[in-house]
Amino acid sequence: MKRISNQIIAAGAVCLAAFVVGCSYHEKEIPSHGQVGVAVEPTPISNNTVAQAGPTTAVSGGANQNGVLVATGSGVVARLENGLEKNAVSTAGNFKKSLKLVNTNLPSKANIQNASGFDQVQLLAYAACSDLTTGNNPLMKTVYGVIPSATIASNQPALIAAGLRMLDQHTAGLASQGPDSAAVTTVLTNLVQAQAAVGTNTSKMAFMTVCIAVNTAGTSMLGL
Amino acid sequence: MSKSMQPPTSRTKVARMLALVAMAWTLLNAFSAMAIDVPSTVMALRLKNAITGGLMPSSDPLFAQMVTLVAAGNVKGAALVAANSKYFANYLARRLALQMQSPSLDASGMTDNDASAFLVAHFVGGGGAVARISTIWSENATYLVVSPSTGAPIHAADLSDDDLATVDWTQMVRVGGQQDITGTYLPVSVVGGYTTLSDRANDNSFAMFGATAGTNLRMIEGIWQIATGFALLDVASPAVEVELVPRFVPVYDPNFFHGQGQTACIACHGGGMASVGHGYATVANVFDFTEDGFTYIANPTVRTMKSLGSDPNQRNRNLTCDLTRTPTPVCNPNSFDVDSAQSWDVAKTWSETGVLSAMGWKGPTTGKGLQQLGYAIAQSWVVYQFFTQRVIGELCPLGTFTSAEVSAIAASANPWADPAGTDDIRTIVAGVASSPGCL
Repeated sequence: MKRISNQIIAAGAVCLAAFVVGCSYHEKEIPSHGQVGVAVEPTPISNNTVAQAGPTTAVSGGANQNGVLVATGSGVVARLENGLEKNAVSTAGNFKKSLKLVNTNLPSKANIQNASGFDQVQLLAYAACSDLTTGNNPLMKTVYGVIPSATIASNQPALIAAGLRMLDQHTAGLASQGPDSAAVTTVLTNLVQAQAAVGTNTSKMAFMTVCIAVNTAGTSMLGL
Repeated sequence: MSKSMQPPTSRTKVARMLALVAMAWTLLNAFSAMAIDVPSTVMALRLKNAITGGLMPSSDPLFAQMVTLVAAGNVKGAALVAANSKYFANYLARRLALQMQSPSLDASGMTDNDASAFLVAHFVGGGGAVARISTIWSENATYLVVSPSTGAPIHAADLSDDDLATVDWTQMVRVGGQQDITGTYLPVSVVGGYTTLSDRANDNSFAMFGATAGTNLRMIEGIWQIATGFALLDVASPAVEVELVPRFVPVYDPNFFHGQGQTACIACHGGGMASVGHGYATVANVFDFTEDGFTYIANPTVRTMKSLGSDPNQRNRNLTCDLTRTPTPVCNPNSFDVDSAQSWDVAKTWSETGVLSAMGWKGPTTGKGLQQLGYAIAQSWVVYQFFTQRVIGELCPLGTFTSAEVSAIAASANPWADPAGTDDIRTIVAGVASSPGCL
């Protein structure tokens, strides 16, 4: 008998607690299915053709040539990583440190008429490229075949090939196989030879020059 | 002399020559097969860099698929390949979502949060749900991202910088319901899709933007502005009843009825987005965003009611609104004030002034609560038209589109249209990217 009355008291307490909770209108439990408001599938409205739409403004920016679209924020970072075939990544090394500093200054607008922050792309390219030159057996040697201790002149073919390889990543092979491939090679050759002409320059410096130039261009390629 | 050392006969010579020619021919064919299709590659590059921001590497098999589709004349198909990839989710979908945390539609300085994750899920599908524009302002759910480090579902704001670099925004977990900062589940009627999602203070969410200020006017104005692309003055009208102006707007202000060098107060507060009848009641007294975070106020009191002004100490005076008192309270004694049932009626003023027609309004014009309002807003043509305009701004800001083409692309995504659109923003993306005005 006592046991039954205890149960009644307990049940009453539970009911009272539920009532109080209900009164406070504070729901702490996960809502039931009916309350969740699962997205309702829309159904077309009869005769709701496009003629029912209100007026909207036309867009007329003139000729839509290459050069009107800017890579923004995470696009810049990804293009650099892709250009370097993820041999340098934004989650490690100088690339990571530099990104933390310049992240908020990267272009935020896709429209070139409003965009700014292109200079930050070059800084990031510098940081990412430098990650390829560190250590006893740097990636500039193991991946791109540029020997740090050798002269620029002896590394010239490897330096040009490295530039082409990076640019090919940005252009899906157009740098080496497109109609302007000869011009691209000439530009890279001139760049490397200009570096070699300065006696105090090292192969590491020449590699950095090529890497920064190519990846800045590839990452900032407007309209692509 | 063994047979193998014997000089070749003329027949053998011919056979060898033929073999060499065949080898050369095979090699030539192989090279020509490898030769790059320049026009198709350039087109595919433009599409993938615009739609994925360059996140898709050209070595990805999807890119080769895009080149093939372009070569076959299917530019829209190529654009869809990019739009359906995780790279679109990680770049443009996320960017559009971050922009929608305030009416400035600027992603600069914005950070990932529950509201932006909810939007990405609605743009690309996630957590078992399909992509759906129509429930952006009404679905009662929370979406979590999958941590690349642990594989566990976490709030987007918990992603570390390293996780952010590798997270896949197409992988989400849907959790039913929405909670405020105290863990209280919002009643379904007050849920506003992404606009009522925030799990912490200073998360840069729309809720933070809208409910931090003293009156929550920014919340309802922001919902209208972001959904429609209209500015405050685009939908304002002074030809309106004074009762529709919130209680805290001083009726005796010289600019109240007729603006002198400025728009009349009544035009926006009574006839525009901030009108008591145009949805202000759905947010005014039920939400706050304090230093702790987003709060749902289940039982509003005079002291917490933002519809009575931003200063909690003056709200009682504004409720009474006795203009004979000194100092004069800052209030409108004629105001209906917001309805405790959170009623809205967008036909008031906006029907006569043509705003509803301009929006292509197709949902009900009256209702109660934010969820009903949000669902009705997304039935309007303007939502799909404005998304199209925004996507044009991202993919080809200097392109050329007629208004008819903008509406046609919008129709392809409008699920309420006849014939029905896809309800999927990727349809808009592919339509814009493959339009002659963008190429």
